[in-house]
Amino acid sequence: MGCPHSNPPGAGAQNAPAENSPAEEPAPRDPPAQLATQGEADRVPGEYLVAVQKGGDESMIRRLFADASVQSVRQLRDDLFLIHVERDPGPQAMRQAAAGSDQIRNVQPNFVYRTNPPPAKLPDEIK
Amino acid sequence: MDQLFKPARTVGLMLAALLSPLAPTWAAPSFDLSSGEYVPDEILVRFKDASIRTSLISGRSGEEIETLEQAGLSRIRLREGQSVEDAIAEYGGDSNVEHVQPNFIYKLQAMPNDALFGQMWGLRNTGQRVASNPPTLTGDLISTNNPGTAGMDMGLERAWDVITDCSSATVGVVDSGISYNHEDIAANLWADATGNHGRNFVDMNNDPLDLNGHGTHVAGTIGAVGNNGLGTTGLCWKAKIMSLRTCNAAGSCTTSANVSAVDFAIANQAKVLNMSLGGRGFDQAFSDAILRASNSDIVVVVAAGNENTNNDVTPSYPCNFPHPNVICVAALDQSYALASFSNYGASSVHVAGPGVNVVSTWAGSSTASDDDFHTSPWTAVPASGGWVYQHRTIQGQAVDLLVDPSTYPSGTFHSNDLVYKQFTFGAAQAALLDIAGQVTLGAGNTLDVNGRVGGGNPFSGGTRILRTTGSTQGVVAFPTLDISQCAGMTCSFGFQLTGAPPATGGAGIVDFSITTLQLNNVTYKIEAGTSMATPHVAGLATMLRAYNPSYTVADVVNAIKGGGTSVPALATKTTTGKAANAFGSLTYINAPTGVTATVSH
Repeated sequence: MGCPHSNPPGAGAQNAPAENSPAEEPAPRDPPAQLATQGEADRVPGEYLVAVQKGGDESMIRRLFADASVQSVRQLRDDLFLIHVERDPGPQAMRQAAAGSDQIRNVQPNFVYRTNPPPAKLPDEIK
Repeated sequence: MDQLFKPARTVGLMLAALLSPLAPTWAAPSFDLSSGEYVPDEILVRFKDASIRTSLISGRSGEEIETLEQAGLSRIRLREGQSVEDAIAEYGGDSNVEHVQPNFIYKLQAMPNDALFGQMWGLRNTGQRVASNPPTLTGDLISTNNPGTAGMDMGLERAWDVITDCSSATVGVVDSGISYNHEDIAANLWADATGNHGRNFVDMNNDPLDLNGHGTHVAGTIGAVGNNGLGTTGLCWKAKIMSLRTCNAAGSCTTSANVSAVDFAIANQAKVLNMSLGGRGFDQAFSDAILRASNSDIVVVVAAGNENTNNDVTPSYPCNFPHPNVICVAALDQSYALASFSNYGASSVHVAGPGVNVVSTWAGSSTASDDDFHTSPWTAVPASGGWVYQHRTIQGQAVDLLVDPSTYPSGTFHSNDLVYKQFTFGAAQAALLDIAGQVTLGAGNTLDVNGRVGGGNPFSGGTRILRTTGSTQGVVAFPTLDISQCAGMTCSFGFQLTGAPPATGGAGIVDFSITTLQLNNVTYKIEAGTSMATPHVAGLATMLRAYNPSYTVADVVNAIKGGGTSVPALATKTTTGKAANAFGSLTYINAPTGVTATVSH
């Protein structure tokens, strides 16, 4: 299927969110992935998984991450929520925001995995 | 189920002509016993007078086990220490014996009659050359060790004598979906009470149809319908495959989708999960999910990855999750060398499986178009001094590329330099864009990739689909982009550099490929990757679970690791140094647990 797709180390990149323009193309079907900077793994921009202790709920999550402006919360399990924030401060800042709460077990990016085919024959470097 | 029933060897029967009861005038029959394929302490005898057989047998200290009435034969157990050869000579010399022979052993050799089975070297390696046959069988072949070495396979010939029907053990494919109407898969799918074949965790609905092909290929290796005269066969001729679509058309799969898929599999009693996917960075939520699967009696078989890196040094997940139910799989080629692209790890990768030139089912007709940047020129703005096409020889390889500036990787570029081209797409259900290149950018500088439906300058009214900042370490492949909205349309795509002067650095694009997928139910494809090796082992895990319903996760994992075939190429590359072997694993005896012994003098 086409050419290789592997995580390019050291390159920071992001897919811009689609801008709906009635005269132009519709929004992409899937949220595009953001490539890592400084060696982070691929993650979906603005999306985080929040694991809570018993009793943790959506309202608590929205309050805790209010500075990031939580746009949506989807419950995956009793103790796990997928949230989307409008102002993504990055994984480290999100962890810091959660550090003071004993109701949060873990907060992490929504990582991106790939069904990588083997790379095509490309030069290692442009010289 | 039809099976070829083939005698272990051809037997010629010799009938004796008795001329005198006292002096036999015929020679005792002779048989070639060198094959050893006969019961070592039995013979079959036809006596002329069946009423005296008992005394004739007991007189030789033999024992009649049974009488085959219709055939007029006595099945005789020999006296202790007597060989079949001696017994044939002894009985054959008796004038009361009309016929004597060994009790030969005939073996079932279950070989499927699927049209493409002859190309499936991983299941049966005859030293065959794998070749494409468009339009039904397409794919890019890897020429190294094609053809390979006969015998270097997973031993399915003997394994299929043991089991071919795995449908009692549900196997989940966590991937891009499955082409559930495919002619060679449809009969082997799991279904819920309403007929859904799994779940779509990308679009959050009950339609896990594959819009990529990868998941269908994986599913076919596990359980394409066997011996139906069509296409390929899975390790399991009959199977129950659950489609867990967590990866989109571009082959990207998120933690949230993967976690939800695992929980769905747990809730629906899957016994095996295949995960031909990988990512960097420890993922607690995914790790927790796989541990839940372990506690729910599910074996999880995962791909090692295709970056030719050591997973012990640079972890890949889920391969590097240290859970007892995880089996991480590297890829082998047709001569059982470690595939050049395969990741490995003496501590983290467990076994290897066939992963090069693997023939399996596909989701439809794929058309790939690789742009060479000059046959149909790109439009540069400005027309000169910015992006240019060049042909360079790099590391002995002829390379067509777009670069800005022309002296890249040295020199400076002008901010807002752009280049674009218009493409017309045929009818398709999915379209993908793959780009590879090298980028060298200072702080604040960017390379954007834009697209625009309808054509024209994509940086005037188009949409940004990729932004790169910083610098790559040499040439890299960017993530595949889903451009399916261009199917059946005209779209333009382009690159633009922006940066504050002096904008040192620039970019070079070495690959720009568009692939479209027209869904159908009759296509097969040749693929390579640890993605393809993994379902070989997942199929084996499913066979084991179906054959041994009482096996625990640990039993299955041990049987796969312990029952493999030692391969020199894997000695320092995997924990076991072994290639997965189906017959070896099915006959592997797990060490008993909870047994103690005391020795008394």
